[in-house]
Amino acid sequence: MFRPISRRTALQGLGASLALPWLEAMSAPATASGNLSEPPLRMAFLFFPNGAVPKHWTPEGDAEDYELTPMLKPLANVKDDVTLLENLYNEQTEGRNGHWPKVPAWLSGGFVVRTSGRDIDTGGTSIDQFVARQIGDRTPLPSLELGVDQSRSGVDNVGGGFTRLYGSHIAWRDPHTPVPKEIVPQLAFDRLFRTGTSGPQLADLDPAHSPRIKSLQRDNSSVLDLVLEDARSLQKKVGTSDKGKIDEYLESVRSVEKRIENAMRPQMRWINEGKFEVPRPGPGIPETHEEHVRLMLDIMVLAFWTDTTRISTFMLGNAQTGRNFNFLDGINGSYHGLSHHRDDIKVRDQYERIGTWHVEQFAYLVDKMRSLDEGGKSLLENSMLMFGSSLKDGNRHDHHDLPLILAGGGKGTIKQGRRLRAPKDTPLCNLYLSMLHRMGIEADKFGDSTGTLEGLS
Amino acid sequence: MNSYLLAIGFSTLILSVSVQAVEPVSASHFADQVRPVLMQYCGKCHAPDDPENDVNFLSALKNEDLPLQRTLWMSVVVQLRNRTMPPAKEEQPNEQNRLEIANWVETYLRATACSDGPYAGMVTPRRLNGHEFDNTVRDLIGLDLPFSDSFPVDGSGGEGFDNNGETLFLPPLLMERYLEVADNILNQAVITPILNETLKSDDFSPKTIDKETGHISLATGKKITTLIQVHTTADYQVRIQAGNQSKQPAKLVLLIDGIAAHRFSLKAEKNSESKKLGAHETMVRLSRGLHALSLQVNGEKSSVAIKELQLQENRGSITQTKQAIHDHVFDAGKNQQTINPRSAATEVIRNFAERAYRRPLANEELQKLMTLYDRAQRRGDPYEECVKLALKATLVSHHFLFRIEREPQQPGMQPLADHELATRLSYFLWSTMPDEELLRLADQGKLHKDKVLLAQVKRMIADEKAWAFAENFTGQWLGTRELGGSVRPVSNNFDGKYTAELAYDLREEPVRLMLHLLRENQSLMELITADYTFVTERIAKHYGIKDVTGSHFRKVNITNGQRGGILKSGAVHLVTSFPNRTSPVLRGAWVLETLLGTPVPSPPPTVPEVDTKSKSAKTKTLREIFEKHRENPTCAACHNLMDPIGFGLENYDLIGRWRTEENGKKIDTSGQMPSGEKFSTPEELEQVILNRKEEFTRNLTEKMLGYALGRSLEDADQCTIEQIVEQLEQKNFNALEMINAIVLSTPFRNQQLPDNKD
Repeated sequence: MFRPISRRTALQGLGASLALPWLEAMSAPATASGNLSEPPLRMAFLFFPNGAVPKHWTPEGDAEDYELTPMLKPLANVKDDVTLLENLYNEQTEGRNGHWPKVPAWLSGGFVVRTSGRDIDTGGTSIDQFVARQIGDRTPLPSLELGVDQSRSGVDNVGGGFTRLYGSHIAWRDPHTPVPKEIVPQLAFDRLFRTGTSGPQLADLDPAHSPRIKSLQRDNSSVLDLVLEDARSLQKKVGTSDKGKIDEYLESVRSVEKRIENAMRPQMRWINEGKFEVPRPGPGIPETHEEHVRLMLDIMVLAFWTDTTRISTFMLGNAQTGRNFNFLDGINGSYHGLSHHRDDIKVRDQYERIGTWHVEQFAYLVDKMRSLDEGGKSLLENSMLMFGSSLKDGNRHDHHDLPLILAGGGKGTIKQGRRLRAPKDTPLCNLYLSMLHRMGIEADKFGDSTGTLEGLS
Repeated sequence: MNSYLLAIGFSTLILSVSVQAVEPVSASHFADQVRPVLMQYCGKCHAPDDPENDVNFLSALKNEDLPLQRTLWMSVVVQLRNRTMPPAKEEQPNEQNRLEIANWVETYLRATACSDGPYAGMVTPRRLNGHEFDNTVRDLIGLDLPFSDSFPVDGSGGEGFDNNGETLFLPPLLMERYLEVADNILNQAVITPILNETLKSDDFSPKTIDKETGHISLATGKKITTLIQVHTTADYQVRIQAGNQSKQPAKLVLLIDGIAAHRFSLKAEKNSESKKLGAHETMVRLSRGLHALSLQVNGEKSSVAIKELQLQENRGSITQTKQAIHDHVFDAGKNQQTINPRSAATEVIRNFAERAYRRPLANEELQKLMTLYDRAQRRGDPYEECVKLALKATLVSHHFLFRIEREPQQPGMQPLADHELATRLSYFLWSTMPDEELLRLADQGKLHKDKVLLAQVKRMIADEKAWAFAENFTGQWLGTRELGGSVRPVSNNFDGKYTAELAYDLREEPVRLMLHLLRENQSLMELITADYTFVTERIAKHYGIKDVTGSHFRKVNITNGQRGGILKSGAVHLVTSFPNRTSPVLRGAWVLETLLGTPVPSPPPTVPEVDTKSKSAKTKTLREIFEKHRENPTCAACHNLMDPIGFGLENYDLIGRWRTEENGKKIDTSGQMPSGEKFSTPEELEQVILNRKEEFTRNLTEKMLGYALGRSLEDADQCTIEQIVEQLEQKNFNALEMINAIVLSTPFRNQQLPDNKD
C-alpha cells in the first residue's frame, strides 16, 4: 500500500522522497509563492452517456420548488445545493445523428461535421478549453480531463459515417483537436504533481549551488527548446498541407514547456490549510466500475482543493457505451442497448436505474466538495459543477430540454436549491456565457448563445 | 469513399449484372436519358437552383460533370439501388428506370476512374501510434516493453485503422508522457556508473570538527548539511559511521531536502569518553537532481560523533541483456570514450539519432544535439548522463515521433526519397522502423527499383516482424481486435466455456490465416474458402476438433465443412453477436460491410422491438422471430438485405460454437441474397460470396491501401484501386501480389501536392 500524502507535506518541497518513487514530482506546489487572498472559482463538467427517462427526471409543473423525481432521488441529501436546469438545448444538434455530433456540441454548441476522420470539425471550442486558454496559466495544470472509458475509434458506418472519436470527447482544444481524457487513476493522480522540476527548495543553501540547481531544473526545458526550434524551422519549410500536424506538435511542446516554466515561476495560488488526503491509487484500472468512478472524482476534488487546476471535465462514459452495469441489482445487458428500451417497462427500469446510479455519483461529488472548508466557505461554494447528458431521452435521442444539474454557489453568484425553467429551447451556451463571466472572462457571446442565462443568481 | 464500393457492391449483389459495357457511351446520354428521369423524381427536393439544397447532384448537366462529384454520384447510385431514395411516401421511378440509371452512372464513373491520370495524393506527417512507438523502441534500443501504456488511446479513421495520420493527434498530455517515457527508456537502457560517495567532515557545513579525532561532533539541536547530485532516480543506501558521546540516548536524524527521512537511535554510552563508532544504515529513494542531505541531533543534551556518511546507489546486479543494450547504444564511441569523450559522444549520438530519425543526420542537427551534451558536461555529469540528455531530445523530436516526408516543391507528383520509402515499407509490413538492410539499400539509392522493392517485400513477409501487419491489419479490418476487450459475451451463460484465453486464441486464428496466405503464395479467396484452419487445444475443444493438444497454434485440415475461412471463425461470430444472443442482422451487415464494402443503412429511430424475451419467443428459433419482424414492410426493406445472410450463419452460436438446434428446434440456415441466389448452408453462403470475387477484392484492396498509406482514400484513388483489382484478377488473387501491387502503386511511392490549395 502507498502512504497518503497530505497537502502540507507536499508543500514542504520534497525533492527527494522516502521509498516513494513518484514523490520526486511533488516539488511543484512549493513554488506557489503567493497566496491568493480568497479562494478562486472552479468549474467542472460531468457528462453521463445515453440520456435519461424524461418523466422520471423532470418534475411536473412549473414551480421553482419541486419534489425529487425517481431519477433525482439520490440528490436528497444535497438538494439545497443543486439547481435543476430545464429547457436548455443545442440547436446545432437538431435533426442530426442520435449520438456522435451531440457529444462535442455539448460544451461548445457547435455544428459537428460528419466525417470518418479526415476533416474533423466540431464547429467550436469547448467551454472548458476556452476558459483554460485564458486563465489556465495561473495553475500548474490548465485543465484536467478525466474519464473512465478508453477513447473509441473507428467509424460508425451504421450510424451514418461519423468517427467514433466524436463520442469519446467532450473537451475540444479547437474544432479539430480533441483533448484526450485520462482514465487511469494513478496517471491522473501523478499528473497533479508532476512538473519536471527537482532539487531542494531550502532557503539556507549555499548560493554558489544555485546555478547548478537551475541548470538541472531546466534540462527538460532545454530539450524542448531544441526540438521546438527544430520543428519551427521545418514548419517554415513545409507547405500548407503538412502544417496541421507540425503545428499541433509545436503547440503541444510549447504547452508542456509553459507548464514547466509555470511550475518554476512563483504563481499566485490558493493554498488550503488542513488535510484532504487521497491515497495514491495503485496502477491500472480499479476492479469495480464504482471504485473507478469514485477515485476519479476524488482526484478531481484533490486537483481543485490543491488549486492544481480550476477547470475540469469528466466523462462518466463514452457516448453509446455498452458497459454492462451488472454490478447493480437486476441489470444485465449493454447500457446503450438498454437505453433503446422501446418503452418495455422491464428494460426501461434497468436503463433508469443506471442513469440514477450516475446521479448518485454526482451527489457524492457535491457532498464531498461541500464537506471541504476553504477559509470559512466550502469548496462547493467556490465552484460551478454541471452534470448532465447530451440527449434527453435515450430511446429517442431527443435533444430538447437536456437533463442538466448545476451545483455549487459560484462564489455566491448562483442561487441553489430549486428548478430553473428557462424558456423552451434556450441555448445551452447561454449558461456557458454566464459561467464565463463568473470565471472573470469578458465575452459577449459563446457558441450560439443569445445572451446570458437569466435567473441564475 | 465507401459509398463508391457500396455502389459496386450492390450492382452485382442485387442484380448480379455481368457488368455490361455501356459502350459506346453517347456523349449526351446523361442529358438525354438520365437527368430528365432524376429531375422528375428527385428534383422536387434537390432542385439545382434551390439555394437551400445542399445535396446538389442535379447541378450536373452532362456526362463529364459526374466525376466532379464522384462521391455524391456514387451515393445516388447506392440510394437508388437501396431504395432508400426517393423516400417511400414519394412517387417512385419504375424498376427498370431505377436500375438502368444506377448501372449507367456506376459504369460511367468506373470507366472514368483513371481519366485524370495516376494520382498519388498527399500523406500528412504521421505520428507513430502506440504499437509503432513500442516496436520502434524495441528495434532502436532493444527494450521490448509496453511504454505506450500510459499514452492516450490512438484514434482510428480513414479506412478504419489506427495508423491513419489524420486522426493521430498529439495533445499536450501525450507530449508530457513522451518526456516521461523518454526518461524511462533511457534510464533502463543506459548504465550510469554507480554513485558511491563517502562524505567526510570537510564536506559538511557548518563545520563542527572535533580536532582530536577529526570527526564531526554534533550537539543536540545542531544540524549539518551537504549537497549531493544524483543522476539516476533510485534507492540509495545511506551508511553513517557515528557514535553517541553522551550518557543520554540520542537521536540522529537524517533529513533529505529538509524532510526527516530516518531517525537513528543511538544508545547512551556509559563512558562518554569511549568515542566508539558504529555503522547506522538506512535506505532512501532519491530522485535525479541535487539534494540536500542533513544530519541533526535530537534528544536531551547529547552529542554525536560522526566520521563519515557513505551514499551508495542500491542497484541490483546488471544482467547481460541490460549490459548488451547499454553497449549497443554506446558502441559507436567505445574506442574514443576515455581518450576523447566528446568525440566519442558525437559518434554515439549520431548513430542513435540516424536510426531514430530513420535517415542520415545533417551536421547542423548533430551540432544542436551536442549542445545538450555540452550542457550536462559543463556541470560535471558523468559521460553517460551527458549523452543521455542529447538522446532524450531525439526521442521527443518530431523526426522520431512522426514520419515526415518532404513535400513536393511544386504542384504535381514527386517520388519519395529512398529513406522515406524504406520507412513507409517498414511501417506498412512491420509496424516498426526499417532494419539495417532497408536502410542500407536506401543509403545506396537502390530501394526504389521495382525488383529491389519486390525482393524486400518477400523478405519482410518472411520475417517474424510481419506478424505486426497480419495482426494489426486483419484484426482491424475484421473488427476482431476488439474481441476480449470491448466485445465479450455475458460470460456467466456459458459455464466457463468462454474465457479470456479462448478469446485471445480466437483473435489469432484469422491473423494466422492471413499470414499463411501471404507466406505460402495462396489466393486471397482462401480467406473465404479455406478447408483448413489454425487452432490451439483451446480452440479445438471449442470447435469440437479432436486430437489437438498444447497451447501452440497448428494447421489442421477440416473435413466436415464447419470451419476454415473467416466466416467460420469464432472470432467473427463473437464480434457479430450481442452479449446474450446471435444477431442475424449484425452478421448480415458485417458480411456486406466488412467483406463486400457495402454499408447498410442505419435503423430508423422508431422501430418496433424484436421480441426475443416473451414466453412465445422462448419456443421459437431466432429465425422465426425475425421472420415475424419482417412481416412489417417498413422493417423488411432493410432487413431483407441483411437478415437472410445472417441466417446462413445461425449454425454458429454467439460464442462461435457449432449447433444444429435452437430451443429444441432444428436450425434452418437457408437464405437468399437480395439478388436472388439461394443458399442453404454456411458453405453455400461462402460460395455466394466467392462469386463476388471482384467486390471482395476491391473492398480488401481499398482497406489495405488505406492501411498502407495511413490516410483516407479520395475519389482520385479509384484509379489505383481499379488497377490493383485488375492485376489481382490476372494473378489468381494471390495474397502476396496484393502487397506487391500496393507497394509498387503510384500513391505508395509518391507524394503529390494538390493542384489548387484552398
